[in-house]
Amino acid sequence: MSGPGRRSPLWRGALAVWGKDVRAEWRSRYSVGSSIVFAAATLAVLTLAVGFQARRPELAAPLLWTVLLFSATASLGHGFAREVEGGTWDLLRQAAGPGEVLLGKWLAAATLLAAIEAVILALGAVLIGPPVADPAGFLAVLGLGSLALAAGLPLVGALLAQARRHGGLVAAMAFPLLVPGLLAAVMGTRKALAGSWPGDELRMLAAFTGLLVVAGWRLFEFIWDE
Amino acid sequence: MKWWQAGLFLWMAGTIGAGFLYAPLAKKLEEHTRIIYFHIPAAWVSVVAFGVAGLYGARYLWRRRPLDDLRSAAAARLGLVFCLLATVTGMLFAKAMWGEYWNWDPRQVSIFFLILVYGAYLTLRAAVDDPERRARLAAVYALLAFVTVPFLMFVLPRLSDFTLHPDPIVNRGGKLEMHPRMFGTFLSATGAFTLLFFWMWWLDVRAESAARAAAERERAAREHPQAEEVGLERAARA
Repeated sequence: MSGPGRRSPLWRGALAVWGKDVRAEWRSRYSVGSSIVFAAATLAVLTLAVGFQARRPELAAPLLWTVLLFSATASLGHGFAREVEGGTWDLLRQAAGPGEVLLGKWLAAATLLAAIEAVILALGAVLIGPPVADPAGFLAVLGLGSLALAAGLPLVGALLAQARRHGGLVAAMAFPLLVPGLLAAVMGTRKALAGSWPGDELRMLAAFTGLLVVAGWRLFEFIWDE
Repeated sequence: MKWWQAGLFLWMAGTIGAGFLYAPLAKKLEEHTRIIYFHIPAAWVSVVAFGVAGLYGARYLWRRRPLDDLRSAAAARLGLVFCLLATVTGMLFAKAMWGEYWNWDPRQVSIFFLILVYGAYLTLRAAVDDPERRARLAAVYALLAFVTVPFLMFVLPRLSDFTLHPDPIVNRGGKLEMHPRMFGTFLSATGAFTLLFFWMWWLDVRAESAARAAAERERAAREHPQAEEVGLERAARA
């Protein structure tokens, strides 16, 4: 991977990969479109099942993260698989190093996730409308939890891109790997919705996301290496 | 039987005996105290095994020796077995103490997810055909998976406000609140379980190496039947 001395080329390459992914998504709107339909359907079914109970913090928090996880898995977990299926995997390998590719994919995942989250939160506010007693805590948990999803899902997607029948495996493999972050995010969101500052949960989320990013950064070259 | 195998047998038998005859009963837990000497060591060994899987995964990525992949996979498999043992013994304890096998207690949730993490590791291995690629990707996953272990085993259960689970050996205040005889028996059980794991791991690696070598010989014999015949004749002469 590019060392600190090659910071500029690393960022240039990463931004090029990010731009390519975002443009491809903008043209097809495949990931964001499917995620939004999935999120809307899940929210509608769950709110229909539990009614106004869904406004309670202990239900709203897991509901939000369940929808986020599966919407994100449907879109962010398949980026590398689409490179393989589209025959662009080898081209990407020739054009950029592992550092550039991973950073670019992470940035693209974060961008797509932010777009998906904006729609999910808007839908959630309309369909459920839970009162957010501590907005700062809620946003902090949402931000760190989203970083964990944006860091972990492309890594699992890259691992599975080289496996056969990878499509159905992404959720099965990503969920257990991301579960410490998700549980902390659910507990933190519940606290923030109820009005207390989720300090412990934020510390755990920060530690988990940091470790995931560092481990992913160090290990990606072995996934990329053929 | 080797001397250390006989020693392990005596050690394990002595520990079981001590659990029933030497260690006193804990308040509130009464007769259910005995499970401490089997449930916690099983959980401990699963953490050790997952650590070994990660360590040999890293060694594989560094040296690219198939034996390291084999060691990593064997440790993950056995870690999963001990994790299941810890779950089952925990469920028996839960039924006896709280009336239900499964209560979604934070510690039950944590260990359940740990089973999923390493179940996913075995799924990944099954999904990749090429042995070199399988070893490389599994090594990366074993290292990523080990990132979750301290969070699931040590951090998350302490983060939750509500738990029925008794305090861990070293409690939230960082104090050890256990009778010295109980603690001695517990340490003995943990040592015996750890040694048992390493023995099982060594056997698993040997069995898997032998199976791979046999498969390799079979493949070579299919591809070069004459060489096999020459080999057999030489063996017959010898």
